[in-house]
This record gives sequence, structure tokens and C-alpha cells, in this order.
Amino acid sequence: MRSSTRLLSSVLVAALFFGALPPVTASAAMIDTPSALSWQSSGDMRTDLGDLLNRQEVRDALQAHGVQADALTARVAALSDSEARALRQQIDTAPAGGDGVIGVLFTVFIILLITDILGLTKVFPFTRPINRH
Amino acid sequence: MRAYQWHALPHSQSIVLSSPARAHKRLIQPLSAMRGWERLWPTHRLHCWALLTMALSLQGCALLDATSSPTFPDQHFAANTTELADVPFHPASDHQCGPGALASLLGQSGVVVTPSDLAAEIYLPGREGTLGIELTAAVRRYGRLPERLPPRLDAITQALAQGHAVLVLQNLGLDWLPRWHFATVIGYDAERDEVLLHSGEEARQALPGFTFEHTWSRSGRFALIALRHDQPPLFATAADWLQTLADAHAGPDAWQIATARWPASATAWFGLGNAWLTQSPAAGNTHSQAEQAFRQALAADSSFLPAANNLAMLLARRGERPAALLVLDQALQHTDQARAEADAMRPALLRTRIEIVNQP
Repeated sequence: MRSSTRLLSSVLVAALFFGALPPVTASAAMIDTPSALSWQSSGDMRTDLGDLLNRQEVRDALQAHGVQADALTARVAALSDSEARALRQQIDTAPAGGDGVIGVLFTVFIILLITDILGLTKVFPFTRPINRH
Repeated sequence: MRAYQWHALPHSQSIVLSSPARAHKRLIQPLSAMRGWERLWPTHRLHCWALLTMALSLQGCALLDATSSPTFPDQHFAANTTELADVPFHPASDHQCGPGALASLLGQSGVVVTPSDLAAEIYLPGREGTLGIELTAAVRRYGRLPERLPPRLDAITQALAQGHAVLVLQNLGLDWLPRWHFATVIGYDAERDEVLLHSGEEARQALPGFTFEHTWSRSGRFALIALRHDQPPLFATAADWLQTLADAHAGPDAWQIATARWPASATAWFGLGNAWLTQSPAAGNTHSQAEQAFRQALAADSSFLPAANNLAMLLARRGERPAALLVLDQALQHTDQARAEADAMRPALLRTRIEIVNQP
């Protein structure tokens, strides 16, 4: 969070210094495909500035979740704009494949055993579901 | 207790179901062979047991059907037996199932990579697992196009039938006690109704179709395939697939497949044009290929401003200033009363126009 604020302020300082905000390009340019898609779906053009800030927050969040510093840049770069937005919002809530069941109590064990046997779940490697047919 | 045991016999239930009168007879018959005290069991009580057993078993089925039918429109795989022999198995411990499953998926599409390589790129220590978002992004990182399958079982079997392994997210636990798990579907055994998976530490796990449905459905039915750039998508809509191509910075070959599939999509033609522009001029007449594609985009939708902008710039660079201005003016005219959403794009075209007019 702190580094994203730092980034924002440096971008704004640079913007003031050069007299214009970065997304307002003064000269003509080819329009890239992601911008056209964003314009088509939402009516807005994507802005490099907004995307940059978003990615900085994703970077901070990944680091806070224990990702090694040397892997951060490539991991953030691999994301598309919409993935970066989604990751920033869902990093704590989206299902993380690999979660173990932590502190399985006896009753829970029994419930899962029964649901395993009914074929609704597959928690234990030693269960074989009853044949439903 | 003996009475209960009889009625627990599967046979007795089916008899009761088909003909109560005959069942009554059958159920009573063994009594004659019993010792004296057992004869004291009144026959109607036996009948009650039979009915109770039947009621319980019927209720069990009904409950399952009631809960499953709205969420499972396709209760059974209507598919033939398929098993892909070319999916590499990478044993992965609990937390590492994401990298393991992805290594299998990529391996089948010809990318050699190990789970430990992938772990640095997608494993999230703070969550002790992997997120679907990063997993999808990693497919692109390895030069493949990720396609999210529609949330239907037959989408998985169709993908298998076309030779694609399918990476799935399962919730092996319950909604209120989730246990998220990534695995790779490598086949389906129609005869035994079993889904075959490379799952965690287990190669070729045969999971009953019923169990797979439940565990997959509980995950929100996340299913992903990895396509090479020369392969068309199986189910994707134009909007989704064009976004995938744009995210992957795909080259002209992949965009050409898209324009063949959706020839009326201006966006597909526009993407193809831009893809040609990113090719090195050594690859041939890329600029005239791009021009063709931009013209096709405008033919599909004359108010598609981005195509007019890029085509005009291309023409102006070649020194064809009047042609470039004509393209811009026509497109701007078309959008005057057309789409309000075009507004965000208009300033870009006006800037291009000014620059072309002022061109020395």
C-alpha cells in the first residue's frame, strides 16, 4: 500500500512537471487491441496509469502472501489487465487449490466419512463410494 | 434383529416394490423354519420393517435426486470412453496440486515443465495453494492459449474426445468445509461411469462420475484446457476468445483462426491487422496484410473507429494522405449518430486526423 502511494505521488509529480497526465497522448498513435476491446466492452479506453497502479497493488499483495521477491515482476507481468484487477480483489477469498482441511474434528471426520461413502465428497484416500446404480 | 436383517437384503426390497402381496408371503415364509420364540414376532411387524426400510431407502434416493437435479442438468456423461495416453503424471503433495496439475496439462500440449519450476510462478505461500487466475495466466506464459470450458460435464468429455486434457478445480470437502484441489482429467470410462484423473499423488485415479460431479460442481465448475496457437477454441464466445488472444499477444496465425470462425467480427479483423503490424517486415508484406485486415474490419462494422484510425495511419505513412483522410472522415461520420460509446475513441481519431493534415 505504502509503495503504491509512493508510486502514485512520483507519477503525479512527473505529470505536473511535464504539464500533462500520461494517458493523454499528444500525438497520434496506433490503437492496440486491448484498448479497442476495453473500448468496445465498457466504452472506456484503458489507461496505462490505472493499470500501472493496479499492478503495483497486486505486486504488494503477492509479496505479502510470501512470494519471493525475484519472482514478483514476472508474475505480475504475466497477468492481463482484468486478471490483475481480479487478483487484487480476490487474493484472500478465491479458492486456493491445495488447501488442506485444518483441524478436522471427530464429528467432521465422521460426516466426511459418510459423505465420502455416499460419493458426495472424496476427502479420504481409503474410502470407496457405494455404487449408486 | 433377525427380521431387520432379512429386510436389509436387497432382494426383499425389490419384491416389496413389485408386489406387496407376494412379498408378504416371502417374508413370512422363513418364519416356519424359525425356533419357537421367534415365531412370536408378529408378521405385521415384519411388514413394518420392510416398509420402513423401503421408505428410508427411497427417501435417500429422492433426497439426493432433489438436491442434484436442479444443479446437474446433465446427470450422466453422454459420452464414449476416452483415455488420453499422452498426459504426463507429476506426483504432487497436497499444497502443490496446482503446479502438478498444470505441469500435466502443459506437458500434454507439448510444453516440458516440472511442478517445481511452476511452483515459483504460481504457488501462493500465504494461501498454501494456487489461484485459478494465476494458473490461467501461466498457461499463456508457456505459449499456450487457455480456454475456460463452459460449466457442463459434456464440455469436459467433448474436450477429451478432441484430445485435450482438462485441468479442473474440485472442492473435495463440503461447501462449509472446503478442500480445494486441482487435478487433470485424462479420460472417462463410460462403461463404469468413472472419471480418470491425475490427482495429487495418485496417477489415473478412477473417480465415480457421481462423485466427480459433486466435487467439481462445488468448486464452481472451473475447467481449463491449453491450446496451441494453431488450434481453434472449442466453446469460447467471440468476445472471450478475442480477449484471450489479445492477452496472449497472439500472432497472425491465431487471429486468422478467429477471423475464420467469426468473419462478421470487426474486432477479430482488427486484432489480425494489429498482429500483422507486430511481425517483422522481413516476414513479407505484413503492411498490406494489415491493411487488408483493417479494411475487412470496417467492412464488417463501418463505425469501428480503432480500425479506421490504424488504417489511416498506415496509409499516411505510405504517403497516401487523401485516402487516409477519407477513411477517417467516413468512420467519424458513421459514428455521429451511431454509438455513444464511440465517444471515448473519437478524440484519438481527431488527433490522428490533425497529425495527418499537418504532415509535411
